[in-house]
Amino acid sequence: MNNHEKINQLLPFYNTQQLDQKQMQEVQTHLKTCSTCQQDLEFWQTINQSIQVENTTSTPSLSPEIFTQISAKIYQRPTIQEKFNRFSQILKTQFQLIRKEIWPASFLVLLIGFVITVMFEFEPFFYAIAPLVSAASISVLYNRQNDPAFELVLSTPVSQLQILLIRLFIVFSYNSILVFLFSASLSLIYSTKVFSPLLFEWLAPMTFLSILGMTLSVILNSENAIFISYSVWLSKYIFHIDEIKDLSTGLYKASQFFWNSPQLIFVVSAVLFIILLIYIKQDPGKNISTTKPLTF
Amino acid sequence: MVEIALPIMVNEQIEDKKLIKQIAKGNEQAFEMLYQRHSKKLFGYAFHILKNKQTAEDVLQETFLTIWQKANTYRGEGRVVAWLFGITHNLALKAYNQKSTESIPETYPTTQNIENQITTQILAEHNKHLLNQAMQQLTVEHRTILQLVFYEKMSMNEVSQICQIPVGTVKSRLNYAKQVLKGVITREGITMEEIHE
Repeated sequence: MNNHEKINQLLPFYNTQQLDQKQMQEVQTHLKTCSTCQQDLEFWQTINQSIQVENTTSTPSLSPEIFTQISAKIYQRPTIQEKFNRFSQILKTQFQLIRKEIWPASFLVLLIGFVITVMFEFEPFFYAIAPLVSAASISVLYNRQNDPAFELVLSTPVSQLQILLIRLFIVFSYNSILVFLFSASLSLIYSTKVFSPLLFEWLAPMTFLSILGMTLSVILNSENAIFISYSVWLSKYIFHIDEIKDLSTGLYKASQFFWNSPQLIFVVSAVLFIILLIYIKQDPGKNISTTKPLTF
Repeated sequence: MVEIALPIMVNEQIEDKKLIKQIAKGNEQAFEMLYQRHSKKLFGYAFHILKNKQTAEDVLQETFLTIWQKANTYRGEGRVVAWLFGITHNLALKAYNQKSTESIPETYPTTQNIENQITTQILAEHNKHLLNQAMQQLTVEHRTILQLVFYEKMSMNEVSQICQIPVGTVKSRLNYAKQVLKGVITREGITMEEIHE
């Protein structure tokens, strides 16, 4: 871009004196020798005057009772109906903003897991797949760089925390329903007795890995969250290899104890969840940039 | 002129930042003070986008509810007024889009019938009025930028921040607005002097 074009783009702001001193001087110097920019400046002056006149004559006066109405809304406790409506509205908005590929991807991976389980009659394969699907999809819920949700955070009384929890709720519910249905199908193929163990086999680790993935994605990023969550889950199986088991019997026992205690897994999940809440609550605006443009 | 205005502007900025800090702590007086300071400007801006007093007042209410609830997220970067305009801008455009999907008012001609508008309406208007009419031919995104630059006296970075678009887009939208408005003026054979008269 040459100097003329650069200066020409500054003319509206020169006209309103919204340039720094150096830029003002640059424009002034250029204007002395450039008739095109002189004409454009005259054009912008006309536009400026026209806007001033239009605004002064056409803007109605603001009703005096508006502040009272705002105050009433601030101190008025919302009714259950209003709370429900607001929740539904956020739910709907967030459902549209969640990455679309999550839905078919989770379904396909679980379907593959289901088919392999049936073909090879090897149920543990499905147990291993289910929590991973959930952890992966929840880890990509939060995109700290370009998240359209942040626009919502900026313009409406919705916090980053609320948005995050609602997304967690939507995706975790979706994954749970999917795994529940596949578990039910597996139990129909084998026997109804398989259903309860199946359910408990995946529920605790799925909850744990989902919350771990979400926490890490908020603190670090989605890629690291998925990698660490997968590694943690892999640790459950890696100790079954005799050589590794022999290397560290203590770690093997701890891993076995952890993964075989659903109650402990739920407690650790709850602790992680509290850490996540505190982290976001302490610095709600941390990742919201008002100066950086959003891309969709 | 600049030398006199600058200290006042700096004082206003400091005061606004103090008010926002107080509002974040739940100070109602600070909230009312901020309202008294900026409500008219924000309402004017919302009205300029929406051309409807009731909707603009609704947007203003939503804006101040948002300010009350989100004052703790203001990071102190840039002028407070730009942050306030950013909130109003988002809410007003949201209301504008909702309104547009419901019905297109007669006062908002679509781009398809620009030619008809110019020949049937604008030719009959006074020259100054013609320019205002021509501005209505611009999209809401272009008009809001003209409003922010010339009426609200925002800097280039502030316009970029308020509209959540890159600085380059601010420049290109201004350039586009210039071309459209100049095109109308040229087509109608009107000189700048005639408009000034």
